[in-house]
Amino acid sequence: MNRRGVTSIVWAQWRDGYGWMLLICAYAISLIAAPALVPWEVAPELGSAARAQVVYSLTFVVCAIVLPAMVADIGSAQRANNYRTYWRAQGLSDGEYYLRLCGAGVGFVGCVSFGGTLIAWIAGPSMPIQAALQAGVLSALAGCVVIPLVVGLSQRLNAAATTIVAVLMNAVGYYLPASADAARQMPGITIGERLTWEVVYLVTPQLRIGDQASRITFGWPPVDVAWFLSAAAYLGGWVVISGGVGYVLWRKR
Amino acid sequence: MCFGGNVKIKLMLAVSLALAVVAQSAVVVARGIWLETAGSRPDGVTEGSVPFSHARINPFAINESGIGKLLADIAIMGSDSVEHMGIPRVSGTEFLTLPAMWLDRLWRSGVPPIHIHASDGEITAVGGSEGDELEMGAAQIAAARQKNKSLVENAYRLNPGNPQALTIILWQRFESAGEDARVDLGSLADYSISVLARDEEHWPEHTLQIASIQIDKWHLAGRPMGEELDALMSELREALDKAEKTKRHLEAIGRWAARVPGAQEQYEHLHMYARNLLRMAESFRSSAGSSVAGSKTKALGENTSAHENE
Repeated sequence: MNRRGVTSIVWAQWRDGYGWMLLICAYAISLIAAPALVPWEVAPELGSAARAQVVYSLTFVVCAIVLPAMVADIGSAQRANNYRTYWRAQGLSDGEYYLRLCGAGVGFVGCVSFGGTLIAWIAGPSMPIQAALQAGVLSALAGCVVIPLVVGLSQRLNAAATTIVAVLMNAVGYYLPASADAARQMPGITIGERLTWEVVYLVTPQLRIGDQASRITFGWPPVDVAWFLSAAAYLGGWVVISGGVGYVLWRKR
Repeated sequence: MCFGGNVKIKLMLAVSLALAVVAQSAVVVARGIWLETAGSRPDGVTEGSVPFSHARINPFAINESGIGKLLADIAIMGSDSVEHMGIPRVSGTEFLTLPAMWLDRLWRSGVPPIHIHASDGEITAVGGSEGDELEMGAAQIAAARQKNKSLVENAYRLNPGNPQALTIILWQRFESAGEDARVDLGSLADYSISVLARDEEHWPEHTLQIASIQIDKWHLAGRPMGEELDALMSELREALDKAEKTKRHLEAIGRWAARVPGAQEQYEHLHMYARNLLRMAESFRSSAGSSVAGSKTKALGENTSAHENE
């Protein structure tokens, strides 16, 4: 069996489990039902804005909750069935095995992020192609941050606990920076407290950079290229950090 | 095994539990229906005069609860975000460290550096230091306005004592409604006042919020100058006295300094607003010049509008 076997098997398991049919149905229902959420009979042009918002919200939920749960289950299955011994016997190193599993998860996130953004771009209000591409890249990178951590953690915890940790980490990344920013601006706060909240703001992975709901719904213009590259590098940096932590968890089992 | 052994006991336990759950749900549903129908309305408010006239089943019964108030605050924050077309507010406080400054700039680089209001209904807004232009389609503006309306109405349902929700609803409806609707808006304001008055004796800003709603009502009634203005002035005086007295009491028992962040600022802001309006009304009364009535009234109106738009 070749070394790509791990990824191929994971993809094949997902294909044969027909989980993708659920996702396709969810996107189809969103596209059809979204206009019902707005008074389209009064203003028919509201339909496209509603579609963009609902489709991107679905993409966001899938990347932040559904895919981490799926990857946690894949990781747990490797542990429960002791596949690592099998792959080691096939000559695959632990590190490469880990990378292949992470690659499968990252592939899922990439497909859903770019697919969701593409659907929102086609079905939604007019938006420059550069802005749509940037939205896809940043969404995918933000969604990828948690994946290696999930793969590593699933070797220590069962799938349910791993999923909860992953969802919490995503919640922290998407919502804590705004709270920390608001907390440091509270009236009457001392300089020490302000500095503490600033440190919290700094060390939190700012996944909210990858939340492109407003950009897609309101048709914002593309980001300046230098800042877009910085944002991509920042999120990529967090993917690397998460990869390191996940690898330690994976190796030390 | 704590439940091991007798199957009958287990069955009885399960049945009792199920009955308890059903009874609890029935109570909650009944309370929910009661909350949103005639039972919750102030005396004298007739069917159809409050905005949500039909009975609504509310199985969770979270209206006016702590969770309901929290959700109402979140809905108002969401409505503010939608009103600004998703563009977040620019932070007013500088960061202390260079990495945090860079991270803040990185975050801000993703959003257009302009200030725009969906309620203005403009298609294109130009602004910001870099002169960036943000093209807004009519559909996006309409979607934002629709979403804003639904968020604010939900916030009002969850907490009718939320002054921001009430103010936005009052002015949104006043713009679109005719003369007949003013009575409905008045009863809506009365309902919010009755909710805020429930714990007015504990929190001074509630007294001032009630005064602020009275000012809104006076504006919505077309700013009548006669006895109505005198009544408003006396209500403002009473409210200011009462709020100051409650604040002094809270200070005496040591609760004022321990209040949640922002409560003192809210009090100061509302106090200043009510006091300034009272001063303007008093100076207008003392001058008693009919020739300046129009301009003074206009000034009062502008002051209030500025307050609402913050």
